[in-house]
Amino acid sequence: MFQHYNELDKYLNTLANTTIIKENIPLISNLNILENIAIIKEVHANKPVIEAEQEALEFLKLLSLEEIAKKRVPECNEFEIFCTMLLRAIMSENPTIVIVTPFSLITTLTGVQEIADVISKLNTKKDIIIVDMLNNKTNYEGELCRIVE
Amino acid sequence: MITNFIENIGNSAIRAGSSFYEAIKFAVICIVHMLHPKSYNPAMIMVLTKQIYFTAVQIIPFFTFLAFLFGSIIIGFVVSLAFEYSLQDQIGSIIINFTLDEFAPFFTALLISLRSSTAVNTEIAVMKVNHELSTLEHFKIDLIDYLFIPRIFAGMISVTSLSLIFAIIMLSSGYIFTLFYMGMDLNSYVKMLISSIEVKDLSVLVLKSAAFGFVIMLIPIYSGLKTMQSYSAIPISVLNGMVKLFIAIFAIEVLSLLLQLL
Repeated sequence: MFQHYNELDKYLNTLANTTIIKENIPLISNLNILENIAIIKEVHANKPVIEAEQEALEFLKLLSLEEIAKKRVPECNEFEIFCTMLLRAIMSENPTIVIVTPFSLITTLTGVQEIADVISKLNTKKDIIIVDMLNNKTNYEGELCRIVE
Repeated sequence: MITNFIENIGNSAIRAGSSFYEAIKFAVICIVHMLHPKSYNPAMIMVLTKQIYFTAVQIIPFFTFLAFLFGSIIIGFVVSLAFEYSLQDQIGSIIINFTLDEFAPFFTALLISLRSSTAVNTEIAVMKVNHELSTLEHFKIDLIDYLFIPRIFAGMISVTSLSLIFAIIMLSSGYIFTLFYMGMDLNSYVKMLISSIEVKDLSVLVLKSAAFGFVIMLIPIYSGLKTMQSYSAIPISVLNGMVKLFIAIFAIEVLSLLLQLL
């Protein structure tokens, strides 16, 4: 948890081998959801498009979001966009994923448990860290996650 | 006042020079990437395929119609002029030179630049303003390999293939006019064209079209990349890009004419 945004930015700048999920790292608007997720494996693992998209679809199925596979970003809601960003991050080779201010990514989010549920469904071995501002602390209190100020 | 005037001219010249240098540097970087096998991956091939579809395939019906309309009128005019100046014996080489060396690549380049260059310029500018380019960088996806090279290749392939289609349509409609003015039958017309065509004409068509295709995509991409971080900067970026593109198209046309004169 951070007091000021510049502290948060400083922290994010120190991170290496980390995929960041935040508003300023959006999905690519001229690709559909499946392509947004599959592109990482196509570029970095040289995976054929069909195979990479199949793998992306399997992940979407884990979240019961397969119906958004062919949709473009404006057709999806905030939660679907967040899940796509998370899946894209999981596709990358970096061992750590940092989710920045999730309550601003999903304005309808009622508690951090919703995100924890999504992560548990994906059964990933990557380290997932959520960073937020101290004024959002109440959203995390009473949850299973460990809070570091 | 005079000092200010001279200073302004100097500043503009320095700005134009440095901008030209930057653009040339960008073009060289793109060419180096185009020659590097590591630049090619399934995602890049997918973008290339889509871009060829949007730039060349999607436009074929409209392009064929325009080629027939303008091609027929212009070739008719050329044939009638040749007939008027008693150049019937050279009509084959006149038609071939005019169609393959000049009109087909130039007209195709103008049409594709109006349709696709504006789209590419806007697309890259919007991606820049929306932070989508930084997203690709965050995921270590090379912008040149993934975004720029497929578009440049697609431009080169599309302009070259559409120029060939345009030339074929124009040469076909040329027959109607030679039949009307000279009473020439189809067999003689085809023989006349075949005997007039040289490797040089085909080389000029292909090289010129490829050069047009290269700048038609490179300049809008470069202009889109230079867009400032605001939505109001997008139309300015497209406007600047198109002005520079038309200057480049005319420069290539003039250069090719000068090279052919030598």
